[in-house]
Amino acid sequence: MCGISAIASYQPVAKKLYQCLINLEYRGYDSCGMAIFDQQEQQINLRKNIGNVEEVNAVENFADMRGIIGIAHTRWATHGGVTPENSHPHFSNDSNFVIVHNGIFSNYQSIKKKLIAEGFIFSSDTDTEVFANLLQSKYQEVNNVELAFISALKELEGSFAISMICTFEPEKIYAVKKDSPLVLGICDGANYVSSDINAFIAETKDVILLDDYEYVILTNKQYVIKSLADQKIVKKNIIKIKWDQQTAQRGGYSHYMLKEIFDQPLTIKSAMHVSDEEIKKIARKFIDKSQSFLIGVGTTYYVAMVGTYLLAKYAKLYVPAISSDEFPTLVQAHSDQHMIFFSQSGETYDTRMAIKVSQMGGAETSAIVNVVGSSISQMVNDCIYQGSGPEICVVSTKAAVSQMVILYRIAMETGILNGTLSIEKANDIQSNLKLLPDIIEKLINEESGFIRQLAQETNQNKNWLFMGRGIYYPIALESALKMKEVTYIHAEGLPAGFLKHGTLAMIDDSLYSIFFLPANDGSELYKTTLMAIEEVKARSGKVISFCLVDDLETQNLSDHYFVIPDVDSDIMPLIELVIAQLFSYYSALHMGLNIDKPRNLAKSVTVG
Amino acid sequence: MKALILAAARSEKLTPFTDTLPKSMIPIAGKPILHTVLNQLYEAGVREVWVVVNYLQKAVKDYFHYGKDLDMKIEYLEQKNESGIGNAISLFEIGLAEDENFLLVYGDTLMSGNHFKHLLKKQKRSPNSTLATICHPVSKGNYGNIYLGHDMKISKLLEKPEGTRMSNYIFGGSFIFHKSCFQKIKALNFDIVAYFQFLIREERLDAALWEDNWIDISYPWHILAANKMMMSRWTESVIPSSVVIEANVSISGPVIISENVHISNGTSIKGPCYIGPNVYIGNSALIRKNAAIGINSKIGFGTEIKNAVLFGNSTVGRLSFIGDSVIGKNVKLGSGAITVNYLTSGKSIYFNSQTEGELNTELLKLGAFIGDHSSVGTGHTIAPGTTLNPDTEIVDLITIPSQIKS
Repeated sequence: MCGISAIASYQPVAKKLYQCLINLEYRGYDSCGMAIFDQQEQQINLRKNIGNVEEVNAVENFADMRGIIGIAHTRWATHGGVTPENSHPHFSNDSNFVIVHNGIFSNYQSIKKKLIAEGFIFSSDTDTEVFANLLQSKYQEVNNVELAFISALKELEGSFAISMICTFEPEKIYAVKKDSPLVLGICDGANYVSSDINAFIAETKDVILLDDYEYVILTNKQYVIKSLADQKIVKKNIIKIKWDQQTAQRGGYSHYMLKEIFDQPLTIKSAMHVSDEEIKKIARKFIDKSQSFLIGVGTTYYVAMVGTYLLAKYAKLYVPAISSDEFPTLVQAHSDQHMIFFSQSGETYDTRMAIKVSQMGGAETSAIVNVVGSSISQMVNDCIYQGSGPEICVVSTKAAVSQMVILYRIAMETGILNGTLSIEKANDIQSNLKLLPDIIEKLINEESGFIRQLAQETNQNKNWLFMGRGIYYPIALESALKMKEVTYIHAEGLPAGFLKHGTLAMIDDSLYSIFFLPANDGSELYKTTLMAIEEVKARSGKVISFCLVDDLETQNLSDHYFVIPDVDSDIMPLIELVIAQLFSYYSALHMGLNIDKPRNLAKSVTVG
Repeated sequence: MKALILAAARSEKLTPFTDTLPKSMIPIAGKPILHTVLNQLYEAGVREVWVVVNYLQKAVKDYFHYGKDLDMKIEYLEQKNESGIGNAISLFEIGLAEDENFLLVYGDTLMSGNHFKHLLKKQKRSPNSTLATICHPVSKGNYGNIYLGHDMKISKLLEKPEGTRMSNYIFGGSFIFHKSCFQKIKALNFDIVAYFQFLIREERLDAALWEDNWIDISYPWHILAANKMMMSRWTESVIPSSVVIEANVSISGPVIISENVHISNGTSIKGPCYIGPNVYIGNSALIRKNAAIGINSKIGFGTEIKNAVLFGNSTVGRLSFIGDSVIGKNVKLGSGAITVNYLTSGKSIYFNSQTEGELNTELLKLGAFIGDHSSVGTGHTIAPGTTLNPDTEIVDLITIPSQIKS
């Protein structure tokens, strides 16, 4: 996972490239660098080092690099350790070509051997430097940059998004894409290339999405997109992006995670605005195909699990959720199947592989994705953009909740289509979902104090169990994942009914259990969860529960409790998830951890 | 940007210390609160400051003068008759040009990091908005509650949350106002809360969120908590060349030792600790964990000082123990004086407030609060949570009178 950017402009680009790096930092933050063509010296200057963007800038001072055309890269190491040599951009041996690359060249070792035999010297362990030198080698043969670019690319396998500048055609940026994201930003006086619209959204909202095996040559005036196969010009439409940069900035919040939790009333509204046609189209596939699967990994796997419960509840259909990484092992894809995939970034490696497997078997594919123009959105037959705006914090909050809201709508629609859900009941649920934004806004403002207090009081705890039954089970799993991601503390999610079949052995007075359960409505779900609470209490385990302000029965059994608002039971699971998000946030805040960039994690995992 | 600092209030809850010192001049980690606030403002780029003073204002003026030592320009405004924040703000109208924004700062709130920088950064991005720093309340008390929208616009201000509702965000004591505020505040009868409500309702009030530690120093024991908070951020030691350190002295952890300090043989100093100018520390003393000893003090042989703030010019006799205590200026503690700092019952310690009666401090360890110019004779043990008013004199505890006939 890396972020690349390139700008061709009339004006100095260093500051804008630096801003691109900052905006892309969530894609990787172990090292970064910039290369800019200096017209006075007629050479490319390169600065790069290890550390996050701010740290590297403090040493390298990017802003005083001269030039109006340049490329930049922020890295999350995949090949080779985190060293200044391995950071991007990479020069060719003669320093005439300079490259930034996101992806992996799978056959780079054999080409590297060949180039070494030709006398090339390698200063890094990266696959990218191989491409830089291969370019130089090809250029020496054909004496034409474009031809060299194409023939070098033809030798390489794997995934890539590449930007390149060279001294032979110093007014041009070459960029190409296969299986890694790449978008163009078009505006007067400057053109942009980047892994993500976020990099340049403050400059332009006119965007072109490159497809695989397309390359672009752009200057500050114009751009030409061609097909890699036959070098024919490809006509592409300019897409207008609706969100503005405001949504991508912290705007005074101390962490993106908190901002994104506060964003949820808005993003749920966006999820409710996804058109009925798009929802229906996907719902229809659950009926038309004999078998369906819900597929995601990490948080989106738990989103998929929520979908399983919703489809069971509203459409009386059992649609299994499968983790993307396990999918190829478990499923023989065929044409009478429908797979729906979930990904925030739309770049998740495991999920992309699962889509490939499904498509090879001829299955129908759909996806719910947040990032416009991402790889997954272009791979599947039908894609719903959830429209949550950029999610910068590595730990997903608003994107996950929005996907769940869309699943509510799909499940209800499926139920209506197969006649298991009445229109009246569906309208009922629909109007409850519409209340959700206001309820969550009120909850965030009125309950945060208690949640923070409790996070402070339980801060010494080293082990958590997160439990629930029914739909509260995936909510518990997702909440436990939040806790693990931001606090690095062990939190295990499990079905509450599972407890006495083993895990109960762990319970003692030092172990905290959080129970996710419906309000005291006398339902079977409530009663059976309460029984699990009693089992824990009987072994003097500590219990945190969710209950209404006047639910003394649950309160008496709990050491602590989160007060939930008196809302319809259909939407309660989402309310409890938001509370759990805040609980994890404040726990990590109190521990002084790097909330937006937890150790060892990257925002979207694009490697296998 | 110019800053207006409000430092006129007396704060009676902090008696006995505010009997003789304005709250903003209470020393925390070796510096008056206002000094730390000014340092933080300087770091954030502020060079011109107006300070609203009244109660014991001479102490403020004598310490800071016109700001030369701090490389700042300091002007004073005297809040004579009327009290209240709205009134204090209005005094500043003369200090501003047309169309100027200013930073409003409560001069007695201590934040562990530089929230001014944070606020000014936010102001840079939205130059025309009225801004307030908001932070989490430090205790469970019944504060107001601020409601936030996703765009950091404050949507509601509840003065007293209903029932058991607990607040999550409260004002953190720094704001950016526009000059146009004066007229409105006047029209609202100098009621600052009414002004906030007006902004939220009619205009716009944006928040800058500060989630780091801070302390509202309301009661005397908060002095100790604030002292600890400020010291906990220290990472380096400072020991000037004029300091005399005799043999067998051990120093560990971050310590800030000032000019002309003398540390005698056998003494241990375990940081974080602050030792002010010209302090003399006798043989085999133990100075540890969040001790701050003010200027010109003398510490006798074998004395232990722990988690304590001594304002300065005080003497602590030999073989004494000062723990979890605050000692004012010019205090004399005789040899063997002990501040007992916990109850054998293990229960939390109560503080007898002159204005509010018995208060539970919820602290398991707390020593004494001794006002300026007091003296405690030799051999006394002082009960946990004791307050001595300024100028208290307690004679030596003598078990054998001088004239005994055989």
